[in-house]
Amino acid sequence: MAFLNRVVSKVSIGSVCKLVFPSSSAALTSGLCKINQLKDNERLRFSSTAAKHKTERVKVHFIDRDGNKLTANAKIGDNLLDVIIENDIDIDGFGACEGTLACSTCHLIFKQADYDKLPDTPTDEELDMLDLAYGLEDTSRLGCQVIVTKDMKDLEVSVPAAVADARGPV
Amino acid sequence: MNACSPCQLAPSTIGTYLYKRGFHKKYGKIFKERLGPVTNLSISDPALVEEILRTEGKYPFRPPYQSWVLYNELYNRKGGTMTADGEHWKKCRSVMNPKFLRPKAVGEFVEGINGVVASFVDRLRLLKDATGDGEPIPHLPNELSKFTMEALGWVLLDKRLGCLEEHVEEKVQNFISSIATMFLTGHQLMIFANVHQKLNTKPWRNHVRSWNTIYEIAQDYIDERMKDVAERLSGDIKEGERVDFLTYLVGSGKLSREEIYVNITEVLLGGVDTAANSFSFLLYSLAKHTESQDILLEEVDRVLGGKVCSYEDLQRMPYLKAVVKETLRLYPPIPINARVMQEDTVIDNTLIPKGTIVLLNKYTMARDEKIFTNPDKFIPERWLRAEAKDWHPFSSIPFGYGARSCVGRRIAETEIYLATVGICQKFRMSVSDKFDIKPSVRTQLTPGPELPILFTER
Repeated sequence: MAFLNRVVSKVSIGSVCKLVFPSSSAALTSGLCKINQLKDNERLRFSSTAAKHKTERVKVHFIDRDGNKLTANAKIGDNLLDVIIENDIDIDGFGACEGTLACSTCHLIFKQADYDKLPDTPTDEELDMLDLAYGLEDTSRLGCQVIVTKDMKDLEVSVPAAVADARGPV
Repeated sequence: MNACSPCQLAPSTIGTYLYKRGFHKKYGKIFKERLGPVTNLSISDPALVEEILRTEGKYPFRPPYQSWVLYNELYNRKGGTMTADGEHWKKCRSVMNPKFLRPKAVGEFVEGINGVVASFVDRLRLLKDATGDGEPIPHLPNELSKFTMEALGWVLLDKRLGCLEEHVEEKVQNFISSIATMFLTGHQLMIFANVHQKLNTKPWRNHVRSWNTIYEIAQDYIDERMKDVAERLSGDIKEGERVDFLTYLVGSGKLSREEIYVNITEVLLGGVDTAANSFSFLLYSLAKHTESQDILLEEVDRVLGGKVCSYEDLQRMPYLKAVVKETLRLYPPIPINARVMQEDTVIDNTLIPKGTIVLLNKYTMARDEKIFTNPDKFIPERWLRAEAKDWHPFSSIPFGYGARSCVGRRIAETEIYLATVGICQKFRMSVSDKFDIKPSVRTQLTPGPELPILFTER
């Protein structure tokens, strides 16, 4: 399961026991230590992705606000926000709410044909957030809600123009 | 930009918001306001609100009440998702986000919340029968607080706290009352909290006492669960097995035990009153507008046919969602939000210097007749997707927008959806002509202590 995979792989052994729970019960500390002392092959047992074959990837292209084409190696099953983060694609202010559908900064515009082929239609929650997106189009989606599939090979999506930045020199 | 007359002490009544509305009418969509030592900028224009919220940067800064800061300093607390700012806020928020706010993660809580809804409906029936026909259930808002506390307690602690039992533990009522006192005194101490502290005034003493009670009780609840959490984490957690929120939080290893106390406490206290107030206004609106209630009952019956509502069912209930949106437009639980500008910013040809507190007047915008037709009327239909919307999308943003928007939004929405469905499946509501609601403000918009709602079995 994804969360445990994250817990197990990212948390270091000593720091949790010493820093996180200075006053906690012995049982709690030993529980955490046990998780952190698992060997690598044991950790994999918790991972939902580890048991599968080599992760399949497809190329996906993002057209940024300056018209540059940025290509990412997208893992099938990830959402497009994950893809941008994982591939270190630099788009200012993208994904501010960490994929929680609380903003619309991961707004992407699809070509009509690609939009029509997307497997899931937007949920009510996504539509509510799209209402608040800047530069909304009929083929707009939020990247955090679009899951990469095999059919998306060489998909090209555009990042809409940014809202005029009100900050800056006066 | 216009400036309004100096120092208007905010009374704890709905009048505060009506006067804001009046000021915006008089001085326009943006004006300066001096409240004692503080100068705020008041904004009631959705396009300007949009600009502020779109340029708020990585760590949106919501000015906490000075009294909260003083209290945290007194007890050497760093604060959490509600009272902290900057990097520390971001750290807390990022840990909460995946399990608490992502819609799919929230889907996991539906079954448990439905269990709480079933107890709540039973309790309503008991109270209704005890009260007798034609009489509103006494202290109904308090009963709704017990429901939201039970539901949120279950979400956060994976434990039924027993708030809906016939005889509840004293600490349940203490907790609920302390939240109300903390927000009320926080509101009263909005200006010169430091002076109140020095003079040790009654509002300050009550503020500290209520915070202490909130912390003591929440820590008690958390401690009761910690042994189970440790056991859970020391065993194997199988793939696909549900992991409760507290276990997730502890297991993430990203927050210290103190930080876990603070964050759970803040989310619990932030989610009981707000959701209960909104839910109160929603039931009141449905009871008053039986034509809307009829449409909702029809949708509930058609989609569910009497069965319990699932996460997927909620995607097929547009009228239910419209009712919630319309209630939150008319009665935004937090009527005014605020930001501290992180940069010098020019908005509407006005320079807003870095550090300025900007008040976003949600209540004023949502009831502006230039934005909404019949703004004071309850018309859920205006939110249906097929209807043409001619208002600016930032005109009604009850949960805020962006990285610092309400962290409990999905949980609160889910609680209210499921409880509304649960009630509609069993009862019809109407209003009693004996009294009407008396809204007041204690940081939050509240309907007052009583609701004139009559329940009859369907």
